[in-house]
Amino acid sequence: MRSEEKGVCMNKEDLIKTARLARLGLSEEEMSAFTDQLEIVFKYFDHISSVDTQEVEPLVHPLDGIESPVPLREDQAQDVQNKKELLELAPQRLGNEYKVPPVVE
Amino acid sequence: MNLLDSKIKNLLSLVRGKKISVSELCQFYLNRIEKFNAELNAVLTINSQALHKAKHIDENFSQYKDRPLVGIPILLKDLFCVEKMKTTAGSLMLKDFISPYSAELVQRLEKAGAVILGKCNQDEFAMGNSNENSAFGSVFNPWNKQFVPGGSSGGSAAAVSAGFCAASIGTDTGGSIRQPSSFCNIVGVKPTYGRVSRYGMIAYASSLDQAGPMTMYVEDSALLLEVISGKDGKDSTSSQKKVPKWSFNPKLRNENIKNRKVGWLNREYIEKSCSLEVRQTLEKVEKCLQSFGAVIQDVSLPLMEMSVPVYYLVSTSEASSNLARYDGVRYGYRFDFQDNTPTSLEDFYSRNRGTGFGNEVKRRIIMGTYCLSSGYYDEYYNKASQIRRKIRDQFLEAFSKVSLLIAPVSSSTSFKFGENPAGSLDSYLVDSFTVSANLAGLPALSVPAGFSPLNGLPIGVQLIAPHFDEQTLFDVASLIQDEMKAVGKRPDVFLTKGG
Repeated sequence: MRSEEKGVCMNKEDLIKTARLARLGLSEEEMSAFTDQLEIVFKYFDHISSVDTQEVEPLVHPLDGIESPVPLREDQAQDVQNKKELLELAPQRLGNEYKVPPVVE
Repeated sequence: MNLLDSKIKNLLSLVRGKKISVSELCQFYLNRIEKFNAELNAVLTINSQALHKAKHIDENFSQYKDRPLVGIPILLKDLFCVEKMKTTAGSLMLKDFISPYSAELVQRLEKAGAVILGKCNQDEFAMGNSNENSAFGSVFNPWNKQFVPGGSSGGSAAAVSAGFCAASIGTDTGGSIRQPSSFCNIVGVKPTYGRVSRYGMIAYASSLDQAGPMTMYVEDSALLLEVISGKDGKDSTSSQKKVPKWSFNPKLRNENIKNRKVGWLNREYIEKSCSLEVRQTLEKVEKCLQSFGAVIQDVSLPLMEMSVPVYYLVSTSEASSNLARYDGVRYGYRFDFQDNTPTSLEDFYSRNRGTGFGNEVKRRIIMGTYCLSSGYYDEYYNKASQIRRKIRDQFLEAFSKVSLLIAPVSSSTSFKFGENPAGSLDSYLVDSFTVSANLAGLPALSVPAGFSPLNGLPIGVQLIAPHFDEQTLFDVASLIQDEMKAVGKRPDVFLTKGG
């Protein structure tokens, strides 16, 4: 989804696409404000391109290589004790199922 | 007997010696919350079971008396799930969410005899550094209500400072314990990544999030950290390392500090970016440590200037994934569609999420989704993760020369409401001095070290230690506590009005 326009970090079109990917409904007002703000912010973030990272392994866990990896426990299914309680958290339900408004597609 | 001047160990002596009952101790803080919370908006929820629990401990005292936190009243940041209690994360999205289970650290606190008094206000989903991003209104700094308390654990910091509880537990993803602690004159510890289980702590950025204590005194933090630390099978990133009993022996401590090499982090950068009063406070700390025989040397971490972009690219990417769960189907907020039926499933989710999340959260979800999206992943998320490794390795290199780093917590004292508007670059740059410890997973704390001669507001100093070396943090922080005499001070207005 790279914008065709070079040198622009984030434009409104990018924002609309991104909001859709994130399933995030934004008002027109929010769209404009976010576009302006994020353009400035990403321009600053783009400084990272100046750092030489050739052959550097990305670090996704801060203790990688410091602590030995944790052995994973066996994946065992367990009964949910409070199923009723969990269902009661739903905004709407029908018996033992979650209910959503009818969707016309 | 002045409860507000007491360290937790003194409160424990009072409780164990039956000089005060647990019910009386809890009531003391509840009365203060009742009287003063309207001024600060620090506490969101009072635990309706708190006094019941306190009474239970009083009535079964022999079972409880030897527990490490017997009767100690604690407020939690509202990011921790407590069974049958409201847990909002400062968001409309979870406004009425009653947690069906308790976080691991909550269970450990309760087992240790602590009483959960209630929940503290915070920036929504822990995203912010001023507490201006809460769906339930801003928290005010108890030292001066025109100023922010810091964030995101701002409610906790204000509550501890104003004497609403004996201690609080906050979370720190990029400075959210340390910065509000500095702004409110309390001690705040971000432990080594993995020290404390994240089970039941609402996730913001999982590879950075870490819970930690926020207290009036250094020893109080160590005591709490001992209780909440340790391996938990429900969090595979929690460390298997044995939890030490952190010691507070002044003689041993002073011996440890003598000849110890302490690094002054990026002196030139501090010179140009920090206010005069912050620099002067740091210099006083430097002189203090030197007078105890520590050897201060300059340490340069050139990539620290990249830490804010790297932090925001990594944390928002993780957040965009973690917050995908709030869809309005299984729990939490749902948009009131009335007759306005959604046109598609996508529209259903989008309207729930678009109206349930606040502005800063939405901005960060957009940032993160953008970083992870096709065409940008390599340039942003992956690149940032590579620099993250280089930053961490620069720290490891520094720690081969020194055993502790000193740095500011923030470039200034607290700032006024509206001074760093949400979404502005400035609002993100506030985190410049705190985020790198999270990127590297290092333990760090903020300890009160002085007050600004200009606005009278507190200034904390940050200490950063090698992985799992919280003892060094506590050694040096307790020396600063004893020598700089800023620890333990509360805003007068909340003292003169009594309890």
